Amino acid sequence: MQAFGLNLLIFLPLVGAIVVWALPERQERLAPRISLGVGAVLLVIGALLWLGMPVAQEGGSSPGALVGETRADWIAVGQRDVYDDGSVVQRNGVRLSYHVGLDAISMPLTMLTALLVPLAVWCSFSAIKRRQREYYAWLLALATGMFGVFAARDVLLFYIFFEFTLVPLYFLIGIWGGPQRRYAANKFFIYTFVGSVITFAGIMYLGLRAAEITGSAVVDFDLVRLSSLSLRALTLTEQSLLFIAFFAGFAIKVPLFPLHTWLPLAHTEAPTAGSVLLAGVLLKLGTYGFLRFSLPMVPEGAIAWAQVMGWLAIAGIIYGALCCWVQSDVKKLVAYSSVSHLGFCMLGMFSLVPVGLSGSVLYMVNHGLSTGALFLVVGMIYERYHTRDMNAIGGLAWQMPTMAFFFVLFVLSSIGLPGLNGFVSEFTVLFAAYNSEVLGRPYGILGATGILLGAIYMLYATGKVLFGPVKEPEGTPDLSAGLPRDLNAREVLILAPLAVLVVVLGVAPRVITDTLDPALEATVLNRVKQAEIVSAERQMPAIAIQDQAAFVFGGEVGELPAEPLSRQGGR
Amino acid sequence: MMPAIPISALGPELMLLAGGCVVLMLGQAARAGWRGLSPWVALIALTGAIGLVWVRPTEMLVGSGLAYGSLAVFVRISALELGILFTLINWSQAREGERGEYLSMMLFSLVGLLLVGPADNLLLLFMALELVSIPTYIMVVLGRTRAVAAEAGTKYFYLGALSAAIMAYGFALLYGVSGSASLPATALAVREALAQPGTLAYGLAVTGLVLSIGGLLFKIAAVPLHFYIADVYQGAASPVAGLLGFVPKLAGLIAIFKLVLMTGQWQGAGNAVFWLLWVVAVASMCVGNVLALRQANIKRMLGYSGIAHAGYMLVGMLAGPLAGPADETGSVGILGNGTASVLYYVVVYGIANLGAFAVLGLLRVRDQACETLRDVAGLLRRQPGLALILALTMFTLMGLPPTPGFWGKLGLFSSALAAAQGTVVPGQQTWLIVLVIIGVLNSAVAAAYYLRVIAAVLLYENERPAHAMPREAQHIGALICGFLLLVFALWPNGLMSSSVVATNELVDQIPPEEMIGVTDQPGGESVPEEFVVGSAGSPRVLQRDGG
Repeated sequence: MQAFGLNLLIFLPLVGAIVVWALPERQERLAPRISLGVGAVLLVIGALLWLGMPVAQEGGSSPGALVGETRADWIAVGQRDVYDDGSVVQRNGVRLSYHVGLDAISMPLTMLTALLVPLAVWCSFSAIKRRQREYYAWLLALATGMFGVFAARDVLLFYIFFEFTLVPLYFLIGIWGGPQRRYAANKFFIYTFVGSVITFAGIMYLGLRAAEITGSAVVDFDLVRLSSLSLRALTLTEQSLLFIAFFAGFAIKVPLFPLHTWLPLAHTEAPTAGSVLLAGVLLKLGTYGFLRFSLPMVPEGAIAWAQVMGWLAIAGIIYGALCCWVQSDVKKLVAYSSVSHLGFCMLGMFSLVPVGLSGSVLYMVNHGLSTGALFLVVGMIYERYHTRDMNAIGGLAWQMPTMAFFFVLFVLSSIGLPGLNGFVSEFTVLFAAYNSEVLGRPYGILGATGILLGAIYMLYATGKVLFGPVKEPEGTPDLSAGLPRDLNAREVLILAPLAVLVVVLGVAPRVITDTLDPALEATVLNRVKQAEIVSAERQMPAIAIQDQAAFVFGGEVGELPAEPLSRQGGR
Repeated sequence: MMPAIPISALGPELMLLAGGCVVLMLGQAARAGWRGLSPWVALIALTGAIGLVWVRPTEMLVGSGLAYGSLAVFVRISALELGILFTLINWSQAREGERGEYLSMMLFSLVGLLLVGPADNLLLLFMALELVSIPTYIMVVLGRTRAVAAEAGTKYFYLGALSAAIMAYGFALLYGVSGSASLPATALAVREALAQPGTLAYGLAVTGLVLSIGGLLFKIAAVPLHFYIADVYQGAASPVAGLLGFVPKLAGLIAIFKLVLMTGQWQGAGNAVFWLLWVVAVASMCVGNVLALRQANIKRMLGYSGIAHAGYMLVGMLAGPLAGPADETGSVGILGNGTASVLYYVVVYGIANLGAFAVLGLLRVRDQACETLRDVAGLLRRQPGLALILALTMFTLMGLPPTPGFWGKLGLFSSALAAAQGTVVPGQQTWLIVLVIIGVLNSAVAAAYYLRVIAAVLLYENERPAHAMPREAQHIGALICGFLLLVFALWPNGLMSSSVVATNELVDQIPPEEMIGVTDQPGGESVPEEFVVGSAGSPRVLQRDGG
């Protein structure tokens, strides 16, 4: 049942997209409604899957358990031996399986997607008047790609969905975007494509290397198999190079500091729904990629590069914040704030301590909620005033009090006010960086300046847009589309769930972390610990390490302990 | 003295030949009704030939100059099916005043391709290759009155003649080494000669191989014999350009396979052939993509991108058929079998290229053929089906997952990586990895210009977009191309398996490395270590024996 639900979650949007596209022209007005219906179903399925997740017990239940696991051979080319009992064993060739399932790491992000997709559809009702059928078709197709990425348990399948997300977003930006939409769409596509082909080379290399290490002639790209290779077999050079290969694709997607230049343009030019999904979900594809692939597959490479990643993250935090400060376009400001925020996310991840990793995942969700919401609010302002220039508008709190309430709430969440969701993740991430062995105090301290800068630029923008004397461009607010001066019921209903979650996750982040932490421990942290031992072993004579390893694990060296390590093991 | 070839073995070829002759006569008919029959005849000949292949798939005719094995079957089936697509796309050319000989030239060219597959005799291989090319020279100019077509035809012909001369010289040198035109015998002699550096035979063998391969580079349109391609694609009718992306490429690649694999000369950093292919692959990828980037004319762009695709194919060639992880019996799957990946990729590229040209050939802007990006702008509004097919072909050529182009690149590049991992030849590992990196980066560069076509078709809006001519057969042809691409995207298994099977025959002919040991021992000469390794057939075998 769960398996059916998960597959429905992935492919229902695609079916919906085809249906919407194929609508006759007279029925065009049905397109938004059908899409919203599909979105609502997705939300329900997502919620049911969430509820179906095994509850974490003390001492850790099975963190490897997958919700809605489905496995089927997709591309299995090679010679097979058929035995008498009818079983078939593939002897050589390639085996790419359609293997999906959600664990506690991918579940929150899937849930976030399932929430943001219907909201993105709904917020387009008044904004999109041109080529509607195509628009909703691409929007739904994008949902398929995003769910697929988080559900994929096969690395090549992940890569296919990862690349697939480019196409719908390319069209969403390129057809329905702002004045520079075509340039922005091309830049977005090519920039991310360049990075991901290098990741592709890395995936191929690792898949083949896995076959070599395990002595099998069947090349497969199973996630578990690739992330449990013997670290002694993979040399440090190999791991470092593979880390760089993964970095090329994921860091551009995140985007990490020097590779972020595609983002402000794509965000600014995209239609509101595109920005919401881009910021809310698609940027997480990069961070999720680091967490899911770079860390467990090449942990030694990750440790070797952790400090560089830390510095890049800090550069992103500070540079992004400074860029925000000087923006006059409020949408561009939110876009640059993503660069800064995802810097925090990466900083937490590469602290390589449990609390940092879980804070990092939490950050992904929180950033999706608050930045997605900010883009929605900015889109709503834009629909009325046709400008995003903060110098042209002002004092909107008097004109749109409901909007002002939501705006302030999401701004506060974004700058990390205690009690709201942003605080939890920001605090844990900085705490982790400060206490981390790999990173350390300078990282924590410098990262913390980002909070200060964040408060400055966000509050500065809020003051300009919401408060002060009323300033409206000539001929606005333009209410010709049937919008009221303040938010209408539809818009309030779009923002309300996000507002509720911002508070709920601020008060009770354990909703996520209770199941998340054991899963991170089992899939990521254990690998990192293994890598630490192996890299120490590479530097010292083997005997000494055996003692040390036996001390740590209380058992054989190199074998993963059957039970997840206790939380104290890595501080 | 060759044994006679039983006529039954050549059934499909003879069928096409007969069909071609009938079409040739029909094409002369004064009445348009008679001329209109010619595509039907071509279609019947092609389907009949497929039927004959189906009935008698393989027939080994040892020593006759033609060895029908799994490779020949693959070539036959893929060539004949592409031939059917091509006939559909050219359906109404004859009736509308184009010359009727048109389709007969296609059939003759396919006969050549069908003979390249089984040829295991230098003489026969040369003749088959020329039979592939000569009709295509005619097709480029036939019935085209524009000066640009005449220029294209002239360029194509002269460069083709030059490359044939180079190739013939290479073949002659190889014959000189072995004293026999039989390909296996020649390969054996060349291997022995290459094991003795410094001798005259060694020089002859290396020169012969390099010249032969150099001449063949014309057929696959690789650097440095690529100059004709953009002019030819632009000057020829669109469907012809679609054909040129497949038939000569497959023929040339198979000929290179035969020469390179049988002599065991595709790997090793101390090896002239390795370096030749490496440099050509890199140059083709880079030159092709850079030139294509600057094109606003889609036909020229596809021509230049064809150079880059030849480069990708050479990456698979360098990997060889035995690169990947092998099971106990030594057989390798698609991800380690560069040769099979190349075969898969040629077919997919052929279909995508043909599909793109089929769509372009159907479109008219102000009664002119559609050639530039501006011409196809806003196509989606007017012709949604054709626009989507064109976009699909572009995504395939780009290699975006999960299009078949992606599976092809997965095979090619991962074979090269597998070769890099498995190799014990010094220096080879680094260079193969560098090659793969250059390759993937090039496929990202290529995305830029394919994306321009997609943007023009789907993103832009146009007051007066191009319209399609009402020709059912051509529409069906384009539709089948799109459909096949979708099938190979979601289910590439069949084509992948058959291309692996096709290479088995070539793999069997690769010299086992013990043979080289045998030829070395009696002479008692001290052959430098790296040389033995460099001429080893399979690094896997080497490793297994060593361990």
